[in-house]
Amino acid sequence: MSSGTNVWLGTSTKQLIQSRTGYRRRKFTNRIMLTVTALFTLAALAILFWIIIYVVIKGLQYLNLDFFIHLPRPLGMPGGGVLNAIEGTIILTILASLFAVIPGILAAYYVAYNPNTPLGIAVRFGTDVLSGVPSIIIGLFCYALIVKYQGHYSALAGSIALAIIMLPTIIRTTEEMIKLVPHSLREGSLALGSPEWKTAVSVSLPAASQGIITGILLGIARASGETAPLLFTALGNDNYEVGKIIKAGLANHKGIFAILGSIVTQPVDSLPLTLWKYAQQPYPERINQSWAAALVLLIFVLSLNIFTRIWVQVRANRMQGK
Amino acid sequence: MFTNMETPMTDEKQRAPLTIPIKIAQKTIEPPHVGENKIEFRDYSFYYGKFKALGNISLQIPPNQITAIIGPSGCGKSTLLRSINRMNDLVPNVRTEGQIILSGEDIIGPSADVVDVRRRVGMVFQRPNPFPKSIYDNVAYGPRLYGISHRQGLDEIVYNALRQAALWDEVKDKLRQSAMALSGGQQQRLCIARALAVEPEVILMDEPASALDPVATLKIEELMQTLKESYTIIIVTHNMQQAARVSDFTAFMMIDSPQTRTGVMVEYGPTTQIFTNPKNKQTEDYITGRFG
Amino acid sequence: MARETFERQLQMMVDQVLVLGSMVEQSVLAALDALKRRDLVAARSIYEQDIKINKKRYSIESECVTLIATQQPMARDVRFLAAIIEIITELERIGDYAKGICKITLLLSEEEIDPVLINELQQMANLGLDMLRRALDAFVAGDAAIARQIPLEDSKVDQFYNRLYHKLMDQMTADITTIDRANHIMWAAHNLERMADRVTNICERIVYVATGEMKELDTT
Repeated sequence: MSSGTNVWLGTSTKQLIQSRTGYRRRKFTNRIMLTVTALFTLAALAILFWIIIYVVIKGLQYLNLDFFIHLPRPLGMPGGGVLNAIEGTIILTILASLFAVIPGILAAYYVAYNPNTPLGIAVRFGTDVLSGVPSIIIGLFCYALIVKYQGHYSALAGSIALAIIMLPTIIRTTEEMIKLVPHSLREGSLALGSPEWKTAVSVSLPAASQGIITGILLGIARASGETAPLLFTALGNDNYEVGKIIKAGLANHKGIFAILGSIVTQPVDSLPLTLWKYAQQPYPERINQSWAAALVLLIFVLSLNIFTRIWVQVRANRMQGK
Repeated sequence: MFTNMETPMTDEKQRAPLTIPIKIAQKTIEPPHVGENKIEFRDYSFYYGKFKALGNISLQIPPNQITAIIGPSGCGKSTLLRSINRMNDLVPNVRTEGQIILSGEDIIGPSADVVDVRRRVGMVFQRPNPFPKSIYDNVAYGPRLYGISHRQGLDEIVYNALRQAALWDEVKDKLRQSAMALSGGQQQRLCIARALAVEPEVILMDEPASALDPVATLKIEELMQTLKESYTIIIVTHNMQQAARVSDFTAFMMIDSPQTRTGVMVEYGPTTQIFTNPKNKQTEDYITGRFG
Repeated sequence: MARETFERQLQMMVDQVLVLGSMVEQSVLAALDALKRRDLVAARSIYEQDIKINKKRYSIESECVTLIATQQPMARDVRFLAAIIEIITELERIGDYAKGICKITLLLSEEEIDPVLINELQQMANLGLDMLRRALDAFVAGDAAIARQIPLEDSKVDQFYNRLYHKLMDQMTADITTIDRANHIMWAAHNLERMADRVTNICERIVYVATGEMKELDTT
């Protein structure tokens, strides 16, 4: 065995591996790399935790029940809340999902199985480009198309803008998930005489459903944090309260579509929008409220993410029969 | 299987000329005539684009028998099998020539209904591929496609299919549990039950036991013997001993040359004859392992 | 790498069969020689050597069964192994015939025998042994054509047997005191005639290995 003086010349692999110097050197390198990796991981996690802790500290003190159940009150009056923003966020999210999910899944299915047709290439390219478009431009686009046409700001316009933002995420994730469905599963269904569309609906999509829903939830998490597109489309509405609208509509004997219409065609507020507006105002009360709004938004997005992961894991376990 | 030696059909087959040297064999082979053939390939060729994967296959599959297709890797056995239930249609840019006749009807012509062909010709794949649904839903999937509901006896169909696949006793208490929780052998039998639920005429098996342990393999082989009473079975297998154990007829395929790599039928006959005294030297070389 | 191990094992089987064939051949030659020289000691010794022939036959058979179980032979290979099991049985019977001739030598002990008769027996044996040697060659070569020719010689052996039979019948009817001796000689001749029949059976097996047909070969 080599004594370590002339390790590289004239030694076999076995000798090299067995020499003491080589071993010590390898151990040392291994330790260095592990340390470096751990440090970088800690750095990344540290930033995340710093943000969370900072927001929690700043926002928690201003969080109270009023915050959730009351509309904004003029300055100086206690007990104001951001109910309008919370309801606005929910309405926008629901609408945006409705607009984005079905076209997104259909587009993704097509692209997954026909990636090289002209349409497939166009969709893939378009999706990639769309995901890089600044959200404010999408907001402007919706302004020009919808707000100007309708003549007023509305939740409809805002949710369409958000839907456009959600679309690339949904299409990409769904496409990947569909491609992950084993070919054998599709074959099994087709071999029984099932037409292509039924196979998609009964086998391929359900098999990919976990991933698809993950994609949707992540898309929602992203879209609910958008502010810029809503500036031009939803604008903001301090008096928005769904309960009141419904009561008013019933009192006036309006039909259900009319009531839904009035929910949807009003300008709405959303949490990020409110946060932005209040943070710009020179009043400490408003600034505190914006910290609280930030905290609420953070909790919403975090819990959506965590819930998604847990749900995926539970379903996976159930499918394996555990 | 050895009882076949006593049947009068065997003598008939011994007398018919069974193979011709391979150069001529590309045209036609006269396999034994056993009355109504369940499936017949008439000068069938298959192309992936420009590549001729199967060359002028002529073959007659008798009903209610197990026919094995053997041959070295890449000789087109699976392609041939998948032609029967038109699974090759899923591949883009394919072309066929010739005919495949199932119970007297052409199944690859323009007038053939693909969905009906796939119902009549069931398939079991190499790796078990149960759907990620419950056991009941897996077996009921086929009948539901054709509109059969609970009221119309879905439960009974599921029961019969699982019975025929020799799986009922093992799963009768857990029909609502996920099919993915079953063992490999059970999953494969579930796939067989799934295929049986739509009442096919023919069952195609593409190396059905290659992913299973020996005990599960034996169960599948025994199952095939029971099933052949009601169905015609065609099995592709790499395992020659399995082909010898299980099948009544054997077809041996090979590529005609390393340049063209077209699969052709070399010899076809009763299993007992192919494995004890094949007529073609290439068959003999392959079977005795002297091939390559 | 086409089944080299199996090929070697099959070759070993061929060698073993040749060994058995040679043992049997030696046995027949020695038996005839002992009869000619009326050597009772040699006869007894050959008689006892038959055990070795039996043992050899069983060992080859067991080897064949092992190969069938472990190598899953098909087509020609399985016909070959099945044929070996039959061939070694036939060889072992020939060994038994040699043993029978030794017994006759012992029974005849000091009695007077016409050397002409013994000469005839010797010729019958030579014919039969020649057939055996050629059959074993054909076996090694797997040559069905040669194997089909060999049984035709059986008729010659039969002719020898018939001549001897009539000669002995004449002798027995002429002088009844010779019946005992004549009977023994007839029995020896019978053994040698049966030996040729066994070789015919061996040839049938050789044809079976080559062609897969199991049928009786013509001896005329």
